[in-house]
Amino acid sequence: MHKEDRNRPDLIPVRLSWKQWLIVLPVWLAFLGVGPRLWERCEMFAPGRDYRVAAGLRDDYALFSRWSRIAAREYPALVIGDSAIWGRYVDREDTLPAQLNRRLEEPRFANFGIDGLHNVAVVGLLRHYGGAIRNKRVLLQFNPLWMQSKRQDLTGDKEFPVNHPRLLPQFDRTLKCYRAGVEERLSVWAERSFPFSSLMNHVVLNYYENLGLQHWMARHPYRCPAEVIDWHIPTDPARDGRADDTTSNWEQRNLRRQNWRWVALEESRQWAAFKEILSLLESRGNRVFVLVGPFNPHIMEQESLGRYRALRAQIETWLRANHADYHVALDLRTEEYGDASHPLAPGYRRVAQALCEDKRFQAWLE
Amino acid sequence: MLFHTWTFAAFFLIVYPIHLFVKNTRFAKYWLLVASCVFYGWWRPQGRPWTPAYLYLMLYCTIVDYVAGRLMAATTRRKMFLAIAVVNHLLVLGYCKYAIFFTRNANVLLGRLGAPALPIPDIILPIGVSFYTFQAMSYVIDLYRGDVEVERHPVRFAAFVTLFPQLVAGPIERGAALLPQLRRKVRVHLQNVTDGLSLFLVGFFKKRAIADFLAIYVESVYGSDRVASTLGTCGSPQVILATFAFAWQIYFDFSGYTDMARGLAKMMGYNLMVNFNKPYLSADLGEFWKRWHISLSSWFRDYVYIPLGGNRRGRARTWVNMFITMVVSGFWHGAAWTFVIWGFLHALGLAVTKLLQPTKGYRRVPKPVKQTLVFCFVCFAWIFFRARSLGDALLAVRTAVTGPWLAPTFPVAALILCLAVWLHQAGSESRLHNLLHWAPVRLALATGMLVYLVFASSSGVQQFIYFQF
Repeated sequence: MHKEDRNRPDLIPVRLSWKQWLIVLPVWLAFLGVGPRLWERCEMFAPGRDYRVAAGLRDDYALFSRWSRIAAREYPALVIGDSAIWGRYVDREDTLPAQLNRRLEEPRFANFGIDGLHNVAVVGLLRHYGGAIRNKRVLLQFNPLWMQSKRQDLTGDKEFPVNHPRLLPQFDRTLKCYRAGVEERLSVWAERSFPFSSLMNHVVLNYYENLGLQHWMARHPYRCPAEVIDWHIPTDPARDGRADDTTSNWEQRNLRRQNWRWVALEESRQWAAFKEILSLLESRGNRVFVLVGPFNPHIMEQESLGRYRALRAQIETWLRANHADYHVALDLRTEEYGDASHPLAPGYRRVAQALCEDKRFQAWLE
Repeated sequence: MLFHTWTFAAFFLIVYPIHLFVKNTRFAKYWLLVASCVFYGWWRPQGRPWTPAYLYLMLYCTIVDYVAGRLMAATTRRKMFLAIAVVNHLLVLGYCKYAIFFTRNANVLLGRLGAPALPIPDIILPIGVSFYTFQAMSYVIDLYRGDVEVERHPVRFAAFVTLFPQLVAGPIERGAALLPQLRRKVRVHLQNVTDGLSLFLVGFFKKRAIADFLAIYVESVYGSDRVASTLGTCGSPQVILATFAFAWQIYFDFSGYTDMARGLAKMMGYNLMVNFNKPYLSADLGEFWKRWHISLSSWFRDYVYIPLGGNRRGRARTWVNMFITMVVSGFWHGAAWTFVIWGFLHALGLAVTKLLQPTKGYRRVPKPVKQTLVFCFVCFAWIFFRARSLGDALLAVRTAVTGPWLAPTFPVAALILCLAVWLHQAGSESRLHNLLHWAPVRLALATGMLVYLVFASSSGVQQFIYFQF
C-alpha cells in the first residue's frame, strides 16, 4: 500500500463533506428528537379504570412516564408504591387504589404501583421519568420491607442483583452493593438523557420479547420486525401478570416465620431515600399523604416483631414531627396476607376502609 | 475500551479537545501517551480483577525497543541489539500467547511417554499483544535495515507504539509511516474531521449493524463461551450459511474496527494505513492477501517471506517460503492447530493459484467465477479459523457435506444487509462507481446507517473478534 493510498477518497466508502454532515446530522437529531413524540401519537394507549402497568413491563420507564402524564391529567390523586400497591395477588379491581375508588364512588386514584420498586428506585423514577407528577395529591406508600435487612436496604457491601438497577444513582460510590461497570452506568445515563433510548427500551419490551432487535430477528428469521408492531400498549387486565394463586395466605404458601434484624432508621438508605421522595414531590407542588405499610406482623418471630414495632413508632414520630399527613395501615388478620407485605383482596378492602375512615386522609383528600 | 461504547465516547470527548489544544506543543506526545495508557489500562480480563500488569508489559516492550533502537544507532553492534529486541518480543509473545498451547501439546507427548504432566500456566492473553509487539518489532528491523530514522525521544517513541486508535487491533503501522507524522506539525483541517467522522460511521455500522448481527447466528451454530455449539445436531445448510455468515462477520468486525481506528486517527490529524480493500471481490488468493488485513500480510511479506528468500531462489524454495509464511501467519492468529491448518490451507490455495495462473484455461475463466471460487475457498478455510477445536472443524466440514437438509433459519434481514453491502462494494468497483459517489446517494446512505444504528443499539455490545489475537 503506497503512502498516497492513505488518502484515496474511494477508500472511505461513504464520504461526506462538512456541508453534507450539516444536512445529515440535523436530520438524524430531528429523528431522535421527534421520533419519541411521533411514536407516542401513533401508539394507542388507553388505560381504563383501575389500570396498572403490566408486571412484564415493570422496567418500561417510558411507559411509566407516559402513564404519569395521562394520569396527571385525568386523576386528582396518584398512588405510588411497590407491588403492595400494584397488587400481586389480586385482580386490578381489588388493588388498594381500586378499593379506594370504589369506596369514594369515583375514579380518583391512579395506580402507580410497580413490582420491586424500593424507595431508592422511586427517587430515580420520579426524578427522571415522573416530571409530569406536579400539583397533585400523591398517596405515597412506605413499605418497611425494604428495611428488613442491610441487603434490602442497599447498605450492605455484598453485590447482589438489585431491583430496578437502572433507577439507582449511577455515580454514588456509597452504594456498594451495586457494582455495574462504567459502560453500564453510562448507558443508563444515556437512557435517561435521550428519550429515544428509553423509547427503544419500550419497543423492545413491548414488541420484541425483551430481546434486542437483532436478537429478535435472529429468533424469528422470516418475520418482518415491523409486522409485530401493532401500535397498541396492552391494557387488558388478563395481561397484567398477577400471581396465579389469589386466595392462599402466607401460611398456605408454606412461607416460614422470619427473624429480620431491621436496619436502624438513622442508618437506613431506604429511609433516607423516602425522605428525599417526600421533599422531591413537595418541591413539585404535590400534596403527599404517607401510607406506612401494609405489613404482615404474623410472619415475624417475636424478637423481630418487637424491633419492627419500635421502628414503626420511630417512623411515626418522624412523620408527626415533620407535619406529614400519614396513616399506618392496620394489622390485618393472618389469613389476609399473601406474604410479608402483600394483602389478599379482603385485606386490601379493610386497609382501604380504615384509610377512608381516617380523618387526616379525609382532610387531605378534600 | 471498545470504540462503540459510551465509555469510549466519554474518553474521546475528553481526549480530543485537549489533543487539538496541545497538538503542536511539546505536550502533544505526552498527552497521546497518557491517553493511550488510559485507553489500554481500562481493559480488564473477563472475570478477573483489574491489574496494571498488562500496561506494564506493554511499556516494558516499548522501553526495550527504544533502548535497543538507541543503542543500534549509537554503536556498531547493531545485529546484537536487533536480536535482543526481536528475541524479547518473541519471548513475550511466546509466553503470553503460546505457553498454554505448548504445555498442552507437551503434556500429550509426555502422557504417551508415561511421564507426569506439566502444570498448565494460568495466563490471560494481554489484549493487543500480537499487534503492538509486531509494530515495535518492525521498527527495530527497519532501523537495522536503515529504512527508518532512529527515534530519540522516548515519549514520542512510546506514543508511536501505543497510539490508542490502532493499539489493540492494528493496523500494524510502520515507523517510517507513523513516526514522521508524530514529529511534524499536526494539521487538523475540517476535512480531517469530516473524513474521520465518515470513516467512523461506516466502521460503526459495519460492527454494530452487521458483524454483531451475524455473530448471533454464527454463535448458535459454532458455539462460543456463552452458547453451546450445535454442529452435531444442525443440518448442512445451517453449517454452510453459518460459515458464509462468519466470513462476513469477521470482515465487517475487523474492517469496521479498522475504519473506526482510521477515522479517529484522521480526526486527530494522523493517517493510518488502509487495512482492508474489499477482499471478497478478489479474483485470486494472491489478490485476496493484498486486500485482506493488508498491514499484517505486508508485515509477513517484508519480515518473513522476503528474508527467507521470497521468490528469488527457485520455484521449490518459493513454495517452501510461502508455506512457512502462511503457516506462521496462521499461528500468529491463535495458539491452536486450527489456525495452523487455516494458514496451511491458504498456502495450499496460493500454490494451486500460482500453478494455474500461467495456463490458458485459467485465463479464460470469467472474473465473477474466479471471485466466487476464491470466496468459497476462503469461506472453507474460515471453518478452521472459527471452529473452537479441530474436532469441531472436522465435524463442521462433515456436517456441511453429509448433514441432513434442514431449514437454515437464517435471518432474512442479515442476508439483505450483507447483500446490500456486497452490492455497494461491487458497484464501487464497476461503472456504477460515479452513481455511488453522487451526493444524494451518500446522504441517503449515511442517514440510513445512522437511523438503523439507533435500532441496532438495542442489542448488547460485543467485543471485536481480533481483540483475542
